[in-house]
Parts: sequence; structure tokens; C-alpha cells
Amino acid sequence: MPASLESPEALIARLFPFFLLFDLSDGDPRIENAGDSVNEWLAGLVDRSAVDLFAIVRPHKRIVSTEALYASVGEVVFLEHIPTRRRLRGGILTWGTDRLMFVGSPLVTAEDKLENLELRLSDFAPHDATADIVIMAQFAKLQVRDIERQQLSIAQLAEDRAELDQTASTDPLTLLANRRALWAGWASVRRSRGEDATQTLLYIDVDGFKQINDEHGHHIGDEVLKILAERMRLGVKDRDMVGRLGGDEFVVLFDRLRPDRAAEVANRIQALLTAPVETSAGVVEISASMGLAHVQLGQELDEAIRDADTAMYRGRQRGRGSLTVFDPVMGKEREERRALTHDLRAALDSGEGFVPWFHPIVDVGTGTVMGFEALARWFHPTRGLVRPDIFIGVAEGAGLVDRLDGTILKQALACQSRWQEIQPGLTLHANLSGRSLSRATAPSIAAALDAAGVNARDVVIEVTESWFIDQHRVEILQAIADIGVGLQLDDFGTGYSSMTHLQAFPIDGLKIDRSFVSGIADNERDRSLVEATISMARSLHLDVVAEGVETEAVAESLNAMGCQWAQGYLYSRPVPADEAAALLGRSGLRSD
Amino acid sequence: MYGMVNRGIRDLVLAECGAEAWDGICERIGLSSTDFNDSTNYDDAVTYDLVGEVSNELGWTPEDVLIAFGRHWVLFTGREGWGGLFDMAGDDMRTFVEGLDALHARVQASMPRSRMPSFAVSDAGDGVLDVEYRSDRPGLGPMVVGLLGGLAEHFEESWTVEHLGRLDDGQGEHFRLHPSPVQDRVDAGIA
Ligand code: HEM
Repeated sequence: MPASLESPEALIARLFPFFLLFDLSDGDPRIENAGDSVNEWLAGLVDRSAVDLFAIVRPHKRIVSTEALYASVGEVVFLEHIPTRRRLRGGILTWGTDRLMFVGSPLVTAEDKLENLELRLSDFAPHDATADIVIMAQFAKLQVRDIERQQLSIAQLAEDRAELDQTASTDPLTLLANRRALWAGWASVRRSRGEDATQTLLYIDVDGFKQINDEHGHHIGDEVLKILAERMRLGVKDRDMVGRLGGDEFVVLFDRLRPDRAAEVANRIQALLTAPVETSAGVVEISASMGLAHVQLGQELDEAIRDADTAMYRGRQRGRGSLTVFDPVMGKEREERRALTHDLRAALDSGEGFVPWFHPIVDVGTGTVMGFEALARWFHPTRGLVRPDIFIGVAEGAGLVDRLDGTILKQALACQSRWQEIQPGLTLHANLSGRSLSRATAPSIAAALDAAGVNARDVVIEVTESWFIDQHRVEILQAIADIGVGLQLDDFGTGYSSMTHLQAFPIDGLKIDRSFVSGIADNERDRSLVEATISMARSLHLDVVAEGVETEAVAESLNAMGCQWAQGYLYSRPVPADEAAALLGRSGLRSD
Repeated sequence: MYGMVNRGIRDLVLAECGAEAWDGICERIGLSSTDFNDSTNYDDAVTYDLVGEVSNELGWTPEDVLIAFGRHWVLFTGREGWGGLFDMAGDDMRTFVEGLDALHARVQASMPRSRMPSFAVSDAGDGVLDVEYRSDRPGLGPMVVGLLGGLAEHFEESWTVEHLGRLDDGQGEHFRLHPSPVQDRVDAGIA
């Protein structure tokens, strides 16, 4: 039906599916007609009294009465359907005489769910914005969801990022800071506190960690490191940074720790670390050497670590479990050491600089040269002669002793092979540093003998006593002895070995340390000690050499005690090869 | 089109073959993000590219992708967030499709940049319904097949959707909804 032909009521009904027509002619308002939607929604409205069904809740709460309805004309009113409590919102118009018309919509707020109101979109007139409110509310929810989803993905991103940073900055084994994080931490402290501020740094190195690994395997080593890392973390404040530099090396960057408190804190950590560590392979005893350095933030972290490391190294030389504070003097020594290490390696590479000098070993009775001990000498291109105690330490620290021992042995054997033609039976004593002895030692000695054409019988290898403590090394020594060379215990008396202990080793001689020998002429205690040593050695069929013989009196005492061989300044100082050659075959040898 | 449409495609791919496939699809068509905002308007090209790439990935024809997407949208994605509207739009297939324009028009009030389609329903006799779909976007006919099919499932009514091709005026596509015999419904596992 074209709109123009519709009855006014039909038109109203189409435009306002929620209209109510009140008939007021009878005193109490009666519902004469209602829109389809409202009639269905609220069920059974038509021809009923409005008084029982509706209340006005806005603008003022009141009972529906003719009076109240008239009073509300032209205002926005909320009608509440009493049985269902559903509400309508709209306005009241006058409709002819004795009639009023309510036109409106269900009262819907954004919180309402239209579906709960059991209404359909088609219930609403096209211009009725009520449905739009619902849709807009749903759309708003959609937008909120979008935002949440974005936030979620941003949060996820941030989390991923944090995780990435974490793995990039933690040591995977111990979960301590790794190098990268330490360096970043240093830089950020420097930024916030300035280059002039000082920082305390503790360097921690587990003593004998290599042995733990060797003895129990790497997985136990790893277990130990994890536990120690945890203890370190416990020993410091949260704001201090504990990091692992690698292997068994750790560093603690203290946050504003007063230098005078540092040692106390370091000792506390030390105490935590030295408690026995329980691993799946049993309890492992641990100690750690530590170096403390108070450094300026202006320094690079590597330098700071090096200082603390230097201190640690210094302390460790005196024994395990030490705590040493860095002193600038140590820095100078370190520089010195580094330069020497460099030069020493260069000398070994070029084969120039290291030569053997020879210290005669004489028959005490006749003063005849029976052999030589080859001693390493280093002629440094700019420093001249470097003291052996210095360069041997450097070589040991740099792991170059075996090369050093090797080059000396080789040169000395070359001399030996020439000299034996002049004096058959001459023996060559060569020193091998305990640190360089390994399974590879015996084969390399054999090869050197071969190359020089020297008979093994005419060579004695001297090994320091302190090295013998370890029973595990018997095999290595046995292998050397099996070549046929003599094995002699150097510096006898300074170490821990007892005679019975010595029986376990394949040695055939010992050299009594100079510190006992020099005193025998006038010190009763030294004399009886040396005497006892000599007689015991004799009963064990060991050759004895007394070193450090400087006076005739000492030589006479030794002779009287039955000591056959001696070495010392009384006879000669160590001399270069050409001078040594001149001593061959001489008897009654005395220094000039 | 608004993101909810594209997200429907995403949900379909995720359900069919997982996140990895979806990430690959997004990468190949150069999308920086693998998710869509429902309430953001995206270029139509994104939707078309997606359909093309999903078709490559799944080895389906683009038409099949659109059909599957339409069905998936009505049954899953569209219900999410718009469930209330679904329930308000009608209790049966016919009323719902008849009311689609009103629904889209209302939705458009919230999504001012959308370009909504138009649907007209008429009786073709014997319970058969003629549906005319009009849109200024080309090629989405198969999607309507899926949407109508999904609607039938939603209302648990059994209709067979027939796509008759373009309308005479060239402004859209023509469909026919056939009430399916009960046996078909049993076969389809609906009854
Ligand atoms: C709650 C239900 C629904 C909502 C909220 C809704 C909303 C939308 C929206 C936002 C668009 C995108 C338009 C643009 O971004 O430009 C759209 C497109 C479309 N809708 Fe719906 N829709 C609903 C239900 C349906 C149903 C049941 C059909 C079934 C036939 C349908 C058919 C279509 C089609 C074919 C399009 C593609 C646009 C085009 O052809 O141009 N919609 N709808």
C-alpha cells in the first residue's frame, strides 16, 4: 500500500513499532492500541488498564494516571512494564480528544544485550537508532578487542625481546651475565657515574678446575660451576653484577662498594665457595683464588679485569684459596712479563738467544771433570743476559718450558757428542722442568739422543723433587728411565720426599741441595743430615751429587763422608761451551 | 574491506593448515603483520591477494577458497563479536537473508568506510527462493554460496545453494535456494 494511502495509525505503527495509544475517556487510562513490536515484546497489552501494567520512572516516579500522563506531554519519559521490568523510552503526544500516544523504543543502553531483550532488528523502524546503539556497542567491543590483541602482540613482542636480550646476555650454563652483559654493565655504570668514579672488581678463578674436569668428567665440572655460580650470586647484593668470563673464571662488578669493605665481602664469597660441593659424582672439595682491584671507570673493562687477574695470579703463586688486592707494582711486573714472554717466544722461534752453559760435575777426591750439567742461558738482544729464575718463570707461565728444555737439551747433546770423543764416559746432566713432563717426553728425549748420536747411558735427566709428590707420574718417569738414561732427583732435601717414598720411583741418583751442603763444614745439623742422606743413598744404590760446594773445607767434609761427586764454585762457575771443552780431562780442578 | 573479513580468511587457514602456512602466505604477499584488526579498513587488494595466495597454498581453486571462507565466516569468525547481531537478524534463513540489507546498513553506521552488498529475496515457486546479490566488487559470488550455505547450517535448515551466474543488469550475481529433500539432509549429516 502506498504510504499516502495508509491510515494515520498504520503509518504511525510502521514508523513507531513500539507505540502505545492510551484511551483516557474512562477515567483510568486504558491501552487502546499498541505497535506490533511492543505488543509482542510485552505480550497482551491491548484493551488492558495501563495503571496495572506501567509506571512512569522518569522524569518523576509516579503511577500511570490520566493526570500523570497529561503532565508528561512534551517530555522524555521512561515507562516501565511492571510484569517484566522492561523499559520504554519516548515522548507523549496528544492524539485527538481523550487520547494520548506514547511513541518510543525499548530502552537500551550499551551494556544491554539486545538479544537478551528478545528483539529482532526488524522490530525497529529504520530511523530508530536503538538497534544502532546495540551495533555500535558491539563494534566498540570489537575495537577494544583489536586494541587488546595489539597490546597482546606488543606485550608478546616485548617479552620475546626481553627473552632474546636475556639469552644474548647470560651465560647459558650458569645463567650469570656473560661477557657481553658485563661489558654493557660496565659501560652503563660509567655513563651514570662518570669516568672518574671508581669501581671494585673481584676476579675469581677456581683452583685446580682442570683436575676436576679430568678426574670426574666435564659434566661434573659443569655441575660444580653451576653451584659455584649460585653461591657467588648469594654472596653479593642484587645490584652487584656477577659474570662468567669463560671456563672457571668469574668476575663480580660491585655496585658502589667502599674499597675498605671489599676484602670483607670477598672473604665472605670465598667462604661460600670453599664449602664442599655436592655433585652427582660425590663431594668435591673446592677452593678459589681471588684478585681484587679498585679501578677507575674511565678504564676499559678488560684492563680492569686484567688487574684483578694479575692480583689473583700473584696470590695463587703462594698457594690456593688466596685473596690478593691489586697493587700498581704488579701491573708493572705484568707488563714486564708480557714483554718478556713475547721475546722469549720469538727467541725460541728463531732458535737464537738460548744456549746451554755447562757446570762441571767433578770427582770430589780428584777434582776431575766427570760431566756437565747443562743450564739454560738467555742472551736477550737488548737486555743482555736474563736471569734464569726470571725467564724460567715466564716460560712456565706461557707454557713454553718444554720447548725451552728441548732446545737446550738438543744443543747440549751436540756438545756432548763432540766431547765424548775427547773424554769417553763423560756424562751430560740435563734439567727437565716438571711442568713439561708428559707422555711425550720419553719419545722426544729418545729422538734427541738419536739425532745427536749420544748413548743414553751417558745422559742423566734431572727432575726437581717437588714434582715427585704425585704418584701418578711414576709411569712417565718409568718411560724415561726405560730409554736407558739416568734419572736424578734435583734439589733433594727441599721437598717432601722421604727415602722410602723415593723407592717407588725409578731414580738412580740424587743431588743434595746447596742449602744443606754449604753448611756442613760448620753446622752440625747440616752435616748429620747430609751424612745420613749419603749413607742412605748408598744403601739404596743411588749416586749422590753435592751441589753448592764453594770451599775446600766443604769439599774435604764431603770427601770424608764418602760423597763421590760435587758441583760448585770451588771448582768452576757454569761456563759457555768453548770454555767447558777446555776443562775436559783436567784434574785438580779449581776456580781461577 | 574491514579487517574482520580478512581475519575470517586467516581463521580459515589456521583451522585448515596451521600457523606456519599462514605466516608463509602473509610473507609471500608482503603483509607486515599476520593478524588483522577487525575494526580497520584494509584495501580490497589485500583480500583478493589473500584469496589468491591461500588458493596456492591449499591447492584449492579460488572459488573453493571463497566458498569455504564464506561458510567459515558465518559459522565461526562472524559469530565472534557479532553473535548478538546474528541472533537479532532473524530466526530463519528467509527472514535473515531478507533482513541482510537492514543488517549491513546498521553495521555500516559503525563502519563508515565499508561498501555493503545488497540482497533481495523472492519466491520462485515450490518453496524455492531467488536471491539477488548486488555489489560493486567483482568475483565474490562463490563467497555468497559459502555464506548462504553456512547460514543454512546455522539455522539447521537444509537448502541447496545454486549459483546461476551474473544478473542480467551485470550488477551482481543470481542464486537460487532449493529446499533439500530429507535424504539429502541425512547424506549431508545435518538431519
Ligand atoms: C552479523 C553479521 C554480519 C556482519 C556484521 C557483516 C558485516 C560485513 C562487513 C563489515 C562487510 C565488509 C564491507 C566492507 O568492508 O566494505 C561485509 C561484507 C559482505 N557481507 Fe556481510 N555481514 C554479516 C553477515 C553477512 C551474511 C550472513 C551474509 C550472507 C550472504 C553477508 C554477505 C556479505 C558479502 C557478500 C560481503 C562482501 C562485500 C561485497 O560484496 O561488496 N554478510 N559484511
